[in-house]
Amino acid sequence: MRIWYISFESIYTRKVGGLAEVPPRLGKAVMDRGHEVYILTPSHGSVSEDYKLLGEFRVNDRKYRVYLYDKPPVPHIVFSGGLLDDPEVYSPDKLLDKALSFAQAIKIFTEENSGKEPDIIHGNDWHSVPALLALNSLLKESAKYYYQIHLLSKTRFRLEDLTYGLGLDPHTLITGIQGRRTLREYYEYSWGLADRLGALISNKLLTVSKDYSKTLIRRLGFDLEEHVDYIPNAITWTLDEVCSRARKLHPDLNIDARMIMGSDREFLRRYLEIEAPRHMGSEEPLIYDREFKKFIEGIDEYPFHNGGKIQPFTREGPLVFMTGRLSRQKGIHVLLKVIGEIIANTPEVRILLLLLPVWGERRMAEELINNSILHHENLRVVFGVSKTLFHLTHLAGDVMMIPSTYEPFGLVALEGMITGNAIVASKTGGLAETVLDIRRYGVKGTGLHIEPGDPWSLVDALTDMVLFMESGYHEPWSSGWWRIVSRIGDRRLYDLLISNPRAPWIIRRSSHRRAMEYTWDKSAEKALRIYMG
Amino acid sequence: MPKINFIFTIHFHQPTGQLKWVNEKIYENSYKLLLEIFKKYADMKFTVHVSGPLLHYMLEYHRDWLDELAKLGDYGTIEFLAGSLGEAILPLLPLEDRIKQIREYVKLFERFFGFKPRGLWLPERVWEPSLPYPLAVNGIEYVLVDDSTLYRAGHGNEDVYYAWITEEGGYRVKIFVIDSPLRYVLPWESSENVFNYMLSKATEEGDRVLVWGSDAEKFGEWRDPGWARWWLNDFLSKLRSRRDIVMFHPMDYLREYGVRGLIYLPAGSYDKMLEWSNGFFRNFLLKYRESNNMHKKMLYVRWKLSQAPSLPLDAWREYYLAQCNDAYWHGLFGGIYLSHLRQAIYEKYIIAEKIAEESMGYYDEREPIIRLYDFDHDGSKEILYESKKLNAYLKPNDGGTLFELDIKEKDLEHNLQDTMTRYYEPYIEGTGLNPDWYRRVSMRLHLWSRDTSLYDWINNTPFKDQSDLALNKYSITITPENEIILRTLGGHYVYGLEPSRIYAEKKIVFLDNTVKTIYRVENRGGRSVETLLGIEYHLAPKINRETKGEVMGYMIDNVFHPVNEVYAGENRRVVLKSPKYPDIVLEEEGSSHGETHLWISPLEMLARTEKGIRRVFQGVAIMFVKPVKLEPGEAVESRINLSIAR
Repeated sequence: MRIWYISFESIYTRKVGGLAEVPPRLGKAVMDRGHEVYILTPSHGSVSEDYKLLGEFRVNDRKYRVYLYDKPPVPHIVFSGGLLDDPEVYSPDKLLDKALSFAQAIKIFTEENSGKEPDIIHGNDWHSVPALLALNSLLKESAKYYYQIHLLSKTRFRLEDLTYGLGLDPHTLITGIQGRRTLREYYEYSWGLADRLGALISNKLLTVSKDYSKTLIRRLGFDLEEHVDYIPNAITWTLDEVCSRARKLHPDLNIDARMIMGSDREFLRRYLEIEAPRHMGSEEPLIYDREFKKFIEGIDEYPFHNGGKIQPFTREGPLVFMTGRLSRQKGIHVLLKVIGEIIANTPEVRILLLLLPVWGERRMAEELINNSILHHENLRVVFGVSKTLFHLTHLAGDVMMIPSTYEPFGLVALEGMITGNAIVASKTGGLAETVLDIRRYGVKGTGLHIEPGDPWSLVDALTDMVLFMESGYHEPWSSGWWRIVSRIGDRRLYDLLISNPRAPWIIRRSSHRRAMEYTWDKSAEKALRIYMG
Repeated sequence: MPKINFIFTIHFHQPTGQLKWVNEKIYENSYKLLLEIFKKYADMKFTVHVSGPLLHYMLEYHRDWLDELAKLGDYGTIEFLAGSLGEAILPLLPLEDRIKQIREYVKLFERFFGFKPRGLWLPERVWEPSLPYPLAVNGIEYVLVDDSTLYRAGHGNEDVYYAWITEEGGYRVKIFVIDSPLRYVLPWESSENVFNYMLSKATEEGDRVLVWGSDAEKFGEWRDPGWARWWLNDFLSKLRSRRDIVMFHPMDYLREYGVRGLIYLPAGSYDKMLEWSNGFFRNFLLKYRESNNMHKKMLYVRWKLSQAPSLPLDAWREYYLAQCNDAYWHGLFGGIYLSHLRQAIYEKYIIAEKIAEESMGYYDEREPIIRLYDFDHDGSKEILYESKKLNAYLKPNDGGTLFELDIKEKDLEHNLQDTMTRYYEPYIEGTGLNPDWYRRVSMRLHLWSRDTSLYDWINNTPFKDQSDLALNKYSITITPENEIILRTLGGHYVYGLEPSRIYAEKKIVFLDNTVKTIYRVENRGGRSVETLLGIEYHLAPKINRETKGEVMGYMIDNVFHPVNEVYAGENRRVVLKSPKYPDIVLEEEGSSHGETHLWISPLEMLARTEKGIRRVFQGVAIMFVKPVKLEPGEAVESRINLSIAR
């Protein structure tokens, strides 16, 4: 089968969030099973000399170029020109036009490459819906269409967006859940909601976890109940790969998997907290959003310096970290409500937030900055990408927190687990499935679940998890060990440590093993089962 | 002949913490006089309540007076009412305390008088529908409530003159209703007028009852004793000969006439109390943060008491006496504005707390304990620093202030931070007193405009504080060395200029008898900040409740100033002096900027008392003032020690 994955992001071109990982990884695993796979994505200004020009064409005075980028394991067809070259991937005021341009470019590319049409078209998130629609109008029943939601959107289209924007007549026939109907009919039936329209014109609506399927049905309509399935995401890292990446940047440290899963990890933690921030490169942190970059560069209050870099901590302590976008969805506002309390409960804790900034969340960023200034013994926030710190943080960490209000899959949890961290995560979406609660699973557990949006649940779980993991660095039954263990509030965690003081290290291994269960091979198998109907 | 029954109930009460000389004066003026009257009219029927705190006092100092009262009880002149051991507002207490307050009173009463009373005087007649249970399980058969409570349930005037029964969860109690119009004429008008009013309620059936219930001090203390003696003699001698007004004891009335029927009553009290409390007694806890502070201290101490495996009786007794209502509210008398009452409440809670801590091994090799706990139940957590020597409670979201500082050393039990904010009261209208815009506690930072004076500060001249540091929320950091660091980011705001960002930090270190605080204020804005940095403390010197006339004051450069004196001058050290208590020293130990001034003023409220509107001392207000000009990036630092001289 020839399979096209339409995606606004790819790790090989531009990455903003977890979506960038999925189509290339899933595509590769599908390709390994003998299928012809392409990733279709906008350039977002990423065109380089490695890209091979496939063709160029004009639409409404705009010139578009199509490139083949075949260096990645899965070949990418990259669309460039006009808005598609804007480096801000999700610039809110241009996003709809960008998605429509992307769809038009794909449509013309398909028209001009007759005979190479795909059998399966797998769109990802609402930005791919105009493209799915355009291809549906063009290819009709000769292809199968799948629309996968990684993150629900509230985006609504006007009918004119789809007609004028894609050059389609409202009476154009579209194939979908209701059979062959006009574009206008499907539009009206979708209430203009992009995600619902994507679902209606596809053979299946897909998502990434069983739990998130329920959210989709609740938000997009119960008439889609029989139409939904899911393909779980999978781990994109191996522990050896992460160690190797960290070793390249910190060659003196001899980082390897054995060190990470043993008490030498503490050495790495000390290095990360006390030393590593000094080694951030001149371009770090990398911030794509120009406005945000300007804003961050204006801050020079301790512990920030030199355009968003951070000063090291002055004392070492248990490391809690978080990665992801700076957004409410990631639960940053929940954390902000209780960060003072977390620090007051565990004064020894060191919290490192590695966040990808989003301009619309400037107020939240300001609050984080103020908190970093006020809690400078305990909190550091890096806004943007820091390769110096990113992998090292995973390898040195004790607890990863994921307080998301909702999370379709939460790939970051797998990243945290494969590197041996305990996870404190909201019980939502994929996190409800990937993270196993220690209070229920004992040493087979990988962390603790909290109520999404509940700051007090976060405080309790994080405090306990930090102390639990920290006890692993102390000689069991020593006075230092007791001082830590006696502060644990949850009786089940306390009892677990009393019965097995090595539990923190077993948990690290359980986390690692759990993450390994989520492979792209298994996901590809499921995807192909769905494609074959 | 129309006939009316009459229950004459006299309530004897002096609060926990009352000054000894006040108790003695009232005893001489009023209580002795009333005993004389009861004896003289021993053939008549009086109903008497002696509150728990007063009963303790009388047992210690005037046992003979109680002996005489008991005798009158035996003779059938007096029917006694029970009460709560601490004269506590029962609905404010945890359920178990409601029960225990009554039970312990009854036990104490029974030990002396030899029997159990069957009725109960409700403190301040504060009724809530949940009361039947704690009353009934203690064998209390009836209570007295006010007519205003009855009206609130939708009943009419006619229903006031009967006894009723109410229940909750099947627990029953009978209700007598105090008639407020009668309270307004007796003893303020002539006996004839009182009789006329009474007879206006009389009926041919003769089954109605008029209940008078009020303070004993109305006879001899509020007005001169000569007048009281004359009025009572006149009233009782005439009443004795009347056949249309029949004096009754409540139990006799119930035996004779029974109850009218079932009734359900909402929360209530007497009419004036409803006015002062905005309709609901618990509102006092909201209006006065200091009242809430005491109430929540009560709950916190109770938690410790309940954790202790075994406790000497003293612990609970101190605790119950600390629940005495007077210091928790304000109406006609000074109430919460009376420092000596608040002081006694804290003393007792601290004593009870210490006993509980010892009994439960609270510190158990982990002293000090620093706890984050929503002490005042407002939804945000406070920092509670606890050691065997002191408790220090800090409120991060109210300017990072110190709002309780308990000295726990034996015989020195005292909350140094028991100062009182001056709230709006209707009677301060037109007096020129501006209510405080923040709680008058300690460690508050201000950036005053350069022209601010001591009087602007103490009298609350508006817009003199040019920053938000005073009320900001502060972050909490606790170091491994048990230092507490509070920080905030605020601004310096001057009309016509860009706000300047201000960073403020307070690093607090607790030693045995000293609280060391390092204040740091840094200009992180883009313009220079010229200001008077104000570091504010309010302290409560210990009042000697035993002896009258001892002067409290403060020493500056070895010169004694009485507490009611104001001081402003370049200085760094002040020593508070009060009789029978160690000196309290407040001193700037060092600073990044040389010049420091001290502003000292009495913190006084114009409070309503039974003697009219009076200036009432609430503590000593002390401000360290530093004139500074901070260029961008510059900071000022000041290290201030608060210690008890030992």
